[in-house]
Amino acid sequence: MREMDEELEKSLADLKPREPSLDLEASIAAELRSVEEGGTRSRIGKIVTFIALAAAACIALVVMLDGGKAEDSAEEFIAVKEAVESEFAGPRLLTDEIVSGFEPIERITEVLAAERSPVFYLENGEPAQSVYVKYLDTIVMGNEKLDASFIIAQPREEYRVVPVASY
Amino acid sequence: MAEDNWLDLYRKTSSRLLLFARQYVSGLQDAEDVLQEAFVKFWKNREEGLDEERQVARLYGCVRWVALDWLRRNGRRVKREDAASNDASLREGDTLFECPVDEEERVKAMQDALLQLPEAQREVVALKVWSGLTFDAIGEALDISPNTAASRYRYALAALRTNMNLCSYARNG
Repeated sequence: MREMDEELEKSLADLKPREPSLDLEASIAAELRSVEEGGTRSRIGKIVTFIALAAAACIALVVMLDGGKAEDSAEEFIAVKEAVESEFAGPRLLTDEIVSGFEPIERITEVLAAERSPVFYLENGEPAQSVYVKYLDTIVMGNEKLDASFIIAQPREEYRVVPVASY
Repeated sequence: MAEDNWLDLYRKTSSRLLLFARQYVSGLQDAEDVLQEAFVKFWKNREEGLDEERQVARLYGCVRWVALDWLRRNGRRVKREDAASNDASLREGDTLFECPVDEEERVKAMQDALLQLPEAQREVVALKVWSGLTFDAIGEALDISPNTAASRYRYALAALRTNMNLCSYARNG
């Protein structure tokens, strides 16, 4: 029985399996290449997403702190016109923080909307108005080493209390 | 790993992998599709540090899973299990093996005998005879114990002898 098995095994082993087509090798090569490239792209995508999220978090923090200051500084009574002008002059915007090697290389602020409330009176009897201003802050972040840049655009809202007389 | 490595592995195993895939998916084109999908999946998810025998066993296991999934997607699993030999039969003129003119009859007889085996035996024979895997590796590829693989192989050889005698008897009248 053992000899018969060996003989049969030898006969079977003599059969040579058919080779696959040459196209198959090329198709596999192409697919593996695209998988490899896809993986690299995906990694870059994750890094960019991470940087963008980190930047967004910084922006949100700055906006929150800024908004709080604006509300708390009612007694300063800054005129909205001055405020708008100061925004256009390009001072404290979004963030000056460096995000993973990226630095702000250009900033633009647009006023999207402005509204005044009816006149009301403060505790000291002084007439005042609250002014709502909506901005769009845009920063171009760049990294010279990587020769790369990305844009952050973030709407920002401000509510300020201003004296009626100065407006 | 460098590109050369997958190519080395592919060229070393491709004809045997194709034969193995054709134990489930008989059509040549379909089997090549299965092989491509399985090889890419295997290569993407390969585990570094395994010895070659285990790597190859996993590659065969991957081919098997992709082939079974292909059958399921194509709604042919039930039919195949009901009539494994019929479904595994090849189109006229199609062969699993290289077929020199003077060997045509012998190759055809052995192929017919092989295709009459149940799938569970065919896959073990393909892995043992043409891929040269040990029963341990066959067990890993098929997710069965080495002992089960060995006993299926013994049954398969016995059945092959019977099938070949029957085929020979049928041909010679």
